[in-house]
Amino acid sequence: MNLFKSKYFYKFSRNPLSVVGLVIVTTIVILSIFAPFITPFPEHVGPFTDFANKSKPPSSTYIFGTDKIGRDIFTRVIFGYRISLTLGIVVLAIAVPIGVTMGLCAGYVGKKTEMILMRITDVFLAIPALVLALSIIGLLDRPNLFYTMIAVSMAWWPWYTRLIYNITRSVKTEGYIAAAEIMGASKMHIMFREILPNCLPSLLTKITLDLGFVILVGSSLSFLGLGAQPPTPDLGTMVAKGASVLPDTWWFSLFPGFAILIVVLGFNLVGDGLKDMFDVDV
Amino acid sequence: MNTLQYFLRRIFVSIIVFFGVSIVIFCLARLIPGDPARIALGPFATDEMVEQLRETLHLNESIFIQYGIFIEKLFQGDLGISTYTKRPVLVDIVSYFPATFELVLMSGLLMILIGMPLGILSGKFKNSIIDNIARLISLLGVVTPSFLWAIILMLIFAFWFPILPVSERMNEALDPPTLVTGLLLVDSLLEGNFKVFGDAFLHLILPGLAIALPAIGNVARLTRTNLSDVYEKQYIEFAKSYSFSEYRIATKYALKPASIPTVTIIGLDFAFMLGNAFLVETVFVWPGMAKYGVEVILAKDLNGIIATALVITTFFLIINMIVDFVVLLLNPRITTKD
Repeated sequence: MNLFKSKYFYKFSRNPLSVVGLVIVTTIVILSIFAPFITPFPEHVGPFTDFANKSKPPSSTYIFGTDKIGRDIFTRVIFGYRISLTLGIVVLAIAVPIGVTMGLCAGYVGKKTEMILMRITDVFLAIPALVLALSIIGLLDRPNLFYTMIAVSMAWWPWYTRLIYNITRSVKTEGYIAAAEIMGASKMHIMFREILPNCLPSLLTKITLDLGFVILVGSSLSFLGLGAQPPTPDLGTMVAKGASVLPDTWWFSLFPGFAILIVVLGFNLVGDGLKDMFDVDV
Repeated sequence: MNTLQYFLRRIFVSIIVFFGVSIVIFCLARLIPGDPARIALGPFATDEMVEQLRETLHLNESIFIQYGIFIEKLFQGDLGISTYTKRPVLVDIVSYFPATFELVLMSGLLMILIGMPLGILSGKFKNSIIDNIARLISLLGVVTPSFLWAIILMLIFAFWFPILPVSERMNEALDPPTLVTGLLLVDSLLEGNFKVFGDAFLHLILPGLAIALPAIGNVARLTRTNLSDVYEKQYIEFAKSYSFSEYRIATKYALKPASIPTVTIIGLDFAFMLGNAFLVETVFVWPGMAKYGVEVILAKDLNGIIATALVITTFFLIINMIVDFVVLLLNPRITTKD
């Protein structure tokens, strides 16, 4: 089946905002994959200094200006996207399998399993996500990117448990589940081969939306100095560094800040498009 | 089930969740690899000092006993000594929490006072300029990090058009009111000191707005959808056929049911706002829980971290309970359901 000729893609492409989102996301992914070849000053990523060109406002050479030790902010923003995207992918790669498995178990097995798993989920949902992530980072050793990923994953899985649990509950009374049970299919088979495929449209939509929101939370943590440590070019860290020297050198923090906004916006628009396309609610 | 039973059950559930949260946070604090005493004291402390701190923190007992001691002390109002400020954690919380409380309440107020009218207007004038602006705000609100809002608001209203103050809770030149509740607005009113009241209010606007903006769009969008749903109901047709005035239909029949989903979502929005308060407080040098929280996190102060997480979560639980009661007042049928 040709994807671009399918009715799904037709529905998706009818909404100009979704297409804009797709363009934003694709551009950012391509830029960050080929960052070393595309950016004008790839050497500015690390602990590079060029005091002759420090704190330069945006110009044709440095389109986002330079920071206070003369590094090109545009280059660092593009490399910052690499960190952000990695964070988003790794966090969801940890959180989604945990959440999905727990949701399937709670919804399908029911009884005590359901009660215990859902109460645990409720407790985790009662703690504001950012506060939970902050506390976990605080309890781990020195802040770094890996710990940020762990902390955000810990705060993120309950949402998937809740989503998959609700779908499982509504699907498990269907005839084909009963048929599979009568034929003696194992619980594992029913959960992962019969129920899970029904969750995929919602799951895919939520993952797309969440890629943006995980990046948002991740950059919030590094904004507080609890994420990737310098000289790693992290977007949140760059905003924080610039915030102390407002308003004179506004480009220090505004450009990295807008860079975060754009990537979150991109994933959000695509996610909304998928929501309409699959006609799901997440 | 009558209203009282509903109330009691709701409170009971909240207490259970609170204990769950305390177990989660406590376990995280104890099960994470590394010796908390060693981390708190740093690599240069002697083994005796570490052992002594382990003794004071009861780290040598089993985890169940440790949790028991923790809960027992919690109910005596003893959250332990902060290894960072060297003061009882409770004293720290009492001095930092009111600032955050005041700020988040202000944001909640702004969220409702701006979000709901915006939603009503955009529902009334569909596809007009107002409607499009409301849509833009709700889209941008959700995807913009609140620290970016803080920076943008700061640049516009404090530096380019300097009309609002940007740091701390009040002008340092003014005498602070005597501490009663810790909320500057309340304390200054109690003293009748309107100068401080006005000043503190101005200081609240920008950080409050920065926290509220992501939620404002949410509230506006929900109000718009729900209002248009309600206007299609038969009882509105009925009221119209009685030629009741549009104002009466809106205020008496449409707004109340339409606001129920919005009020429900406000509870969830508070979780985001409490998290966002951490970011915005940092930008506006606000002496609240965020400042304290980040400091204790960087100092690896175990008691401080646990207390911060517990206080914020408790606040969130209470807000959610209040929200549920408000929903009950708006929709009394809830109690008879199950």
